Amino acid sequence: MNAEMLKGHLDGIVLAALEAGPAHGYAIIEAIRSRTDGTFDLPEGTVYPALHRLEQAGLLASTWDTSTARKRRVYTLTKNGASSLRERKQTWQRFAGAVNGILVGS
Amino acid sequence: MSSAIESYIATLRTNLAFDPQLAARLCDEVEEHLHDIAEQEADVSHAEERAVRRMGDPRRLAAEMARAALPGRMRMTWQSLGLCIVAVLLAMRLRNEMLPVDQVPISVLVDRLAFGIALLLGCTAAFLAWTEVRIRYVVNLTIASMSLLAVSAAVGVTMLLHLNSLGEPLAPMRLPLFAIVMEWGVLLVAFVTLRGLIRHARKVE
Repeated sequence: MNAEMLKGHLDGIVLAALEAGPAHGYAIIEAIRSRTDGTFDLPEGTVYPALHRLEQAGLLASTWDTSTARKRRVYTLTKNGASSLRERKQTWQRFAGAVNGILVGS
Repeated sequence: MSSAIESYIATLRTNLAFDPQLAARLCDEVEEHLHDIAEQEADVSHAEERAVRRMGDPRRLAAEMARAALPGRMRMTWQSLGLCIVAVLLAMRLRNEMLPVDQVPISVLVDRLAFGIALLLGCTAAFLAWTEVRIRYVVNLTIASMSLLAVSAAVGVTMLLHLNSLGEPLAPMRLPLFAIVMEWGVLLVAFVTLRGLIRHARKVE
């Protein structure tokens, strides 16, 4: 599945990938890849503009983690981020249900 | 000879030169990410090249980052423009109330006119930004608005100098003078912020 098809959904996908707990850019991409069985095999760089946008919107917070040998920027879902994710999930379920109703039939 | 990761980071840094703070942060982050990918590669000899390929074009990444950072830059510019309008208005009112401005009627007229048009252009820029028209128009209107606020501040300086040359006592000028210094300080910060917005906007367009 190409990146164009994911436009408009990437922010929600990144928020969902962080639902399980704080993670850095590489781990987020890996989580997306493994949770979609490789269907969303995005160019790794795609995640950074989304992370920046979500952080600016107050939906994510980030800090440098220097506890390991390698310095990493770790992102965490904020309270607003968690509530935005809940809303996005509801909207998506309604949308997917409606599309399914038309394409697959009830 | 530099490695594939090093040259990728160098290209990314060059393309993020419009925002040194963002460049420093993102380059560190992406470099670590590239090493993570390279470590997972089975073929060690081409691990870095593959990692770089998986990360995508650094120019495109820089342009996407500029787009993502633009709303924040716009917000900062609006805040500083708003602060400028308040500072210039305050300085103008102090001048008009504390100085014998009837001796310099042309300056007062230019001062008010520049401020009025600056306010109008600033509001128009904010409205256009809200309606999401092309960023270039918003930036040009903001430049015009801030320039007119600078004209108003410059009129304040010339007014004080002119009144002083006419032999007016210095004592009542202290507060207006302080307001002028404050007004120029705020304008300087606003122009620096605006410069940042212009550099981001150029990268996006």
